[in-house]
Amino acid sequence: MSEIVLKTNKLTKQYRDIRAIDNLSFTIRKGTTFGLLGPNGSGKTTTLGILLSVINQTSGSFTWFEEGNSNKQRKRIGAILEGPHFYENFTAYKNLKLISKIKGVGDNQIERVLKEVDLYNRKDDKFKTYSLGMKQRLAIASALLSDPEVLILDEPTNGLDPQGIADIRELIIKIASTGKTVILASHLLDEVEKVCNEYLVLKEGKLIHKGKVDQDVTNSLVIELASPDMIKLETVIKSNPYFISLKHNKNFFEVKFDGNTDFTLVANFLFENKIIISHFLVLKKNLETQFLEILEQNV
Amino acid sequence: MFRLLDIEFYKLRNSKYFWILLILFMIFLISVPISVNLFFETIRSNKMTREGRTLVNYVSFFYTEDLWHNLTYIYKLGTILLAFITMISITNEYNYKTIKQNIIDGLSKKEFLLSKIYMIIVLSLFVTFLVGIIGVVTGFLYSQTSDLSLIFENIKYLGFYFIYVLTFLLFSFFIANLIKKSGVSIAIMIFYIIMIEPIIVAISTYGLKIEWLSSFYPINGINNLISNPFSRHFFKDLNRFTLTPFFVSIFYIILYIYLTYKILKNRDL
Ligand SMILES: Nc1ncnc2c1ncn2[C@@H]1O[C@H](COP(=O)(O)OP(=O)(O)OP(=O)(O)O)[C@@H](O)[C@H]1O
Ligand SMILES: [Mg+2]
Repeated sequence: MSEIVLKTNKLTKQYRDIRAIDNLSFTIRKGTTFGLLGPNGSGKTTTLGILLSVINQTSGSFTWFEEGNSNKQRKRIGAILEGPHFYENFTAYKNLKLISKIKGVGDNQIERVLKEVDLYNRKDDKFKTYSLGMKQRLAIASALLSDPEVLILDEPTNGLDPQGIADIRELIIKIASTGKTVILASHLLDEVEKVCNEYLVLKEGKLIHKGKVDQDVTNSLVIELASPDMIKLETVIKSNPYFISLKHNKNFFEVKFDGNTDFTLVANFLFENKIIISHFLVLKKNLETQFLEILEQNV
Repeated sequence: MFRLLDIEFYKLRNSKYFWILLILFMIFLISVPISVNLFFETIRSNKMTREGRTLVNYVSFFYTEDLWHNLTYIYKLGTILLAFITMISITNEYNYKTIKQNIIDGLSKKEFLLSKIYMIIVLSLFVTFLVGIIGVVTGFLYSQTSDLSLIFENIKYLGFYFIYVLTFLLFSFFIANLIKKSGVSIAIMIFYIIMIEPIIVAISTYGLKIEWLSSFYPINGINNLISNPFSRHFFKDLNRFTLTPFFVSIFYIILYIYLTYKILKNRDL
């Protein structure tokens, strides 16, 4: 249906004695926010390096935009791979200006991207004087420079403080919402979960799972509930505006709520309706549990 | 081509090492005729004996017919400064992984390489042009000739100088690409030039008695483009002119570009 942005076919990279990636085939459709998930050393960076033509694959092939994989396609992609790489003695502005020349775009975008990552007032400072977080943000700015159709980010929140992490995630979500395709490599499940809608899991170079981040799972709240009066509990809880579904278990209900509420609101709601609670347990059913299950199945 | 040159010169003109080395090179260019002239003036004014005076006139540096040969021969020495520019310009890219980012941002490896090679060609042309100007000016000022057309005699040495610089820079560029670290590659290059090749030349010439082979080594081969003009006065017969060094240089130019491309193509960045 929708256009294919990337298709890989049995990509393999063999280093001397390790197979960094092994027969990797997957497809990414336009508009997807795609997570590349896997523990350290599982081959995420290697995969992205191949897709960006800085690493030669041992075998297999890939195609961008159903066209090819030359620098012509690469100009339609904005990417950062393993940290920021800039000319140390250039100012931020000059670094971005050089990249504009390489991408063949005018320098009228520089101001916009610098503002986007909040570096505009530091634009005339040399790159080497930047803090790690600022360097990382400049890297993201450079990836946004040509207003690319695809954004590739390898651990984009590495080295950022909590505020920086939140800002970058928000930025990624904002970019994704404009219909751009985003490919995000991370070993932080939480990050992929918050940002992505599709993902694959790598382990020792092998693709062990492909899936969609289940909006239903992540954007919901599941609580185990029990009361001496289970019948009253059931009627009351079903009247909660965020109620989604209820599952009868042996001694308790497993109740699913919309993610826009939280457990304190639920507790408060039950209290106001004068329900006596004998069991209240918030279930953390999210990608992390899925991920750990998947990894375990593949030992 | 102009886009690639624009990219490369943007990098250079924002780099301190480039200006420092280029200015050093220019100082070297200008200081040669001035100091040589000073040297001869001192000898003359020191009321030397008649023999001394004739000797000075005999080997006169600025004697128009020899001017280009003499100048370019001495200017060969300065090429090492330009080689440093070439080498640092590529080792920096490896060091800071900006070569990787350039490729990610949309240069092909071939374009990246071409941007550097174009830069090397333009740099070689530029310094040849400078040497040309200095040669003409020096000819006017010092050679005490009334016939101006004599100044342009033997200007072919300017062409050889260009070929020499180009080949030498590509040689240094090749080494820098191979080694990737600036200090180490500069050290290896100098070590090769002053130790390894002379030893190999000595072995093949005096040990193995294959004299003709010495014209084909990377450094010796291109050195012959501009042979030592001063020894000519003593060994007149040795000063036979051949085109061999020219073809040797062309061969090495192609070889260095080809090998550098192969290295870059097969390398994971
Ligand atoms: N140049 C190299 N030479 C040899 N082995 C390498 C090289 N680069 C990567 N590897 C190996 O390939 C495997 C995959 O590495 P890669 O960097 O792709 O992992 P990653 O998933 O990005 O890990 P991380 O989360 O730590 O960034 C690792 O085992 C690594 O040691
Ligand atoms: Mg990595």
